[in-house]
Amino acid sequence: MTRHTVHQQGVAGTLESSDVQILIDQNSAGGIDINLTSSVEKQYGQQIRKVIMDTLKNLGVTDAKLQVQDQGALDCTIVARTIAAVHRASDSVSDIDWGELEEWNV
Amino acid sequence: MEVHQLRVKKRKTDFKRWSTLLDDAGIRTEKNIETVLGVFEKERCIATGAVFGNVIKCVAVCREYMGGAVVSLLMTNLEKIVFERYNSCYLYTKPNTGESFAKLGYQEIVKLDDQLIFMEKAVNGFSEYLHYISDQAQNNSRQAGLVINANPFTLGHQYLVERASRENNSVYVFVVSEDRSYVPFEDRLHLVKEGVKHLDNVVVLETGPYMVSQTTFPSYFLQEDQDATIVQAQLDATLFKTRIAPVMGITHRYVGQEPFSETTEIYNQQMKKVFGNDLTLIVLERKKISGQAISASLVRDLWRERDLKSIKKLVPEATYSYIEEHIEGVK
Amino acid sequence: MERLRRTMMFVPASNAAMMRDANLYGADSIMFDLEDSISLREKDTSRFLIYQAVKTLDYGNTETLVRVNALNAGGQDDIEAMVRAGIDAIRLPKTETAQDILDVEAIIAQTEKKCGREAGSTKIFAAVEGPLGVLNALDIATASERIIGIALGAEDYVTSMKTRRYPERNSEEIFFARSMIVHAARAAGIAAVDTVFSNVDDMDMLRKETEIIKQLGFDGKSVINPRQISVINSVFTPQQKEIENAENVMAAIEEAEAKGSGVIALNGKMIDKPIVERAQRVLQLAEAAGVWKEGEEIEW
Repeated sequence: MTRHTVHQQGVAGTLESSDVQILIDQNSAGGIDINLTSSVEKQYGQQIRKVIMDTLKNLGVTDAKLQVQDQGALDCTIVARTIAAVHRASDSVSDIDWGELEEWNV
Repeated sequence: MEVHQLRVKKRKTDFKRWSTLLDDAGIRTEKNIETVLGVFEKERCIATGAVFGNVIKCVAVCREYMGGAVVSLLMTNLEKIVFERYNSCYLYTKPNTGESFAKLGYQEIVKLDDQLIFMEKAVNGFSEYLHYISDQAQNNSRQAGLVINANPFTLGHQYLVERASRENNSVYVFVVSEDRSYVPFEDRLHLVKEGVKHLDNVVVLETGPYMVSQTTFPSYFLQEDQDATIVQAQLDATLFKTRIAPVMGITHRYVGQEPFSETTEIYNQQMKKVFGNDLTLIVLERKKISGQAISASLVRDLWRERDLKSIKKLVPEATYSYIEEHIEGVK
Repeated sequence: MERLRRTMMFVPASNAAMMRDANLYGADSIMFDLEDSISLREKDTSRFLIYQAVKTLDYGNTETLVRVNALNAGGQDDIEAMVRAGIDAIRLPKTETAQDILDVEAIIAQTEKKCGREAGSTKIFAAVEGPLGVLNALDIATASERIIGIALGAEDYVTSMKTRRYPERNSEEIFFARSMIVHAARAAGIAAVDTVFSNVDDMDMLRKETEIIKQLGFDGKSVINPRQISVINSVFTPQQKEIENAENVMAAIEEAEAKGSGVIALNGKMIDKPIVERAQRVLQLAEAAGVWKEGEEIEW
């Protein structure tokens, strides 16, 4: 599994309806820390966090801090934006390992 | 809906579109802007926003389109510009719109009455900054705080810090991080540290983006007759009093008197007003050499004239060596 | 029978809301765009977005395509992602020569192998957007087994031709290009799709333009706004008379089969293959438009 390490801030997504904006950066305290703002926090807050955490785990990211603005995004959108933000943060955009992504991304 | 750049400084039609929208929203046009965007519905410009460094300003939306979609589209595009070069994004807005920006991920840093709020979107932002500075808090009674640009660090600055050091248990010197000064931040910070290392109760810190400056401050928010400097000073003072001082246990703020700078005078006045009885403002007279007050601008003038002899009398050793090394100028 | 492609809707791959709702608009084909509608800065994020969406969401019977970037501008990653995601076809922009098709095909084949997708299952749709491509239309249309259709991108084409669009003058400026493309499509046995109509408020002109291309023999038209779909569909919806004739043809065939006769005749005239195909097509279009249903018996 390719371990992605966050070197710099990565941003992906928009503030538009049905989308989610994710900012990811290093976490000096270690571990994963997610700060979430969502219009559907009550019903889906937990689910959104779970999707992000699972995706980070699959990408091999162990330490990161995230600022997430959700506007009612579907799970697949959350996964996509997380993958994109991590690639930008770990500087792997020009070097995407599709086979590796496919291994866990059913 | 489409988003296009408005070339307000080059095209009359774009300037007209921009100023009309701002006018309707009760906002004035600003010179301190880098990129201005317009949201278009068919041929009509229905919203606008501008970027200056890492600050989003001059956001105005046509009344009929005040729903989430337009603002979301506008903010997404403005943020893209900011995040290209910076990690954190700042915003000034009227308190009544603060809620909608909170939904977009902005957190309030400081509020000024009903006039305006200063907000931030960041992963490692203000709370991390507060951790950084509080980690260095000495937990003493009677502690002083100073904010200096130190462009460069002079004997005048040193005098201020020495006085504070003598009169207080601990001193926190905040060096302005914003890099719009002649001497780059890293060098300014270094010279400050060198200039105070003989004092064992002084801690040198960075201000980060949390000391409002004239360049980022949105004077357009104010009524025509209101002085931008006064409101900016109030905002700065409020931030210091309500968010910085408590975390550090600062009881006294030291500033130098500035007989020739109206801006600094206004600042000092506003600080006194805002601090009230909660925080003591100490205004010290400037240190003089041969009857002349030492100021960084004087040093810079002499620097331009390459007058090392005169400079030597006004700055501590480390600063002198730096200037000598960069006598031709700072690249 | 060949699937219907009356409308091919463009969906920018950066728009999460449109991607989510793409299948609700009723287009025959959805074309996710990673090329011209996506800014350089958003190529990578949009690619991941559409990759994840096509993988996860169910687009039903709607055909899914993705317009990829040029191979030297991210196209390779686009193809890798979308073949893996399960896209129906890759749409190649600005196709000029048969070699362009072969270059893309090589990457598709390689990716199919790598990810275990059935070889040949990813189709190709060629978009011709310039004079060279127009002149090479037949070569392009026959360059690969995977090609299912060829489309005209008129905006870039007219710019290269040093003119502009004149929809109000029956689009003479793209008549030749349209002809070449529909000829190439018919000779190669693939679909022909016309260019977008960019004025989303002028439904009358859209209708006129659609009638012209239907007359020329096109299968359908590209769409940039869902509101255009019903207009285009209605132009392709057969008239009652056409439907009746088609029904008669099909009835004649049934009769002939029942009798065991090898020759099919209707009203004394022989019905050969092209007529049958046309009849089937009419009924297919009528059914899709909801104005006809197979095997409806009359209640006595």
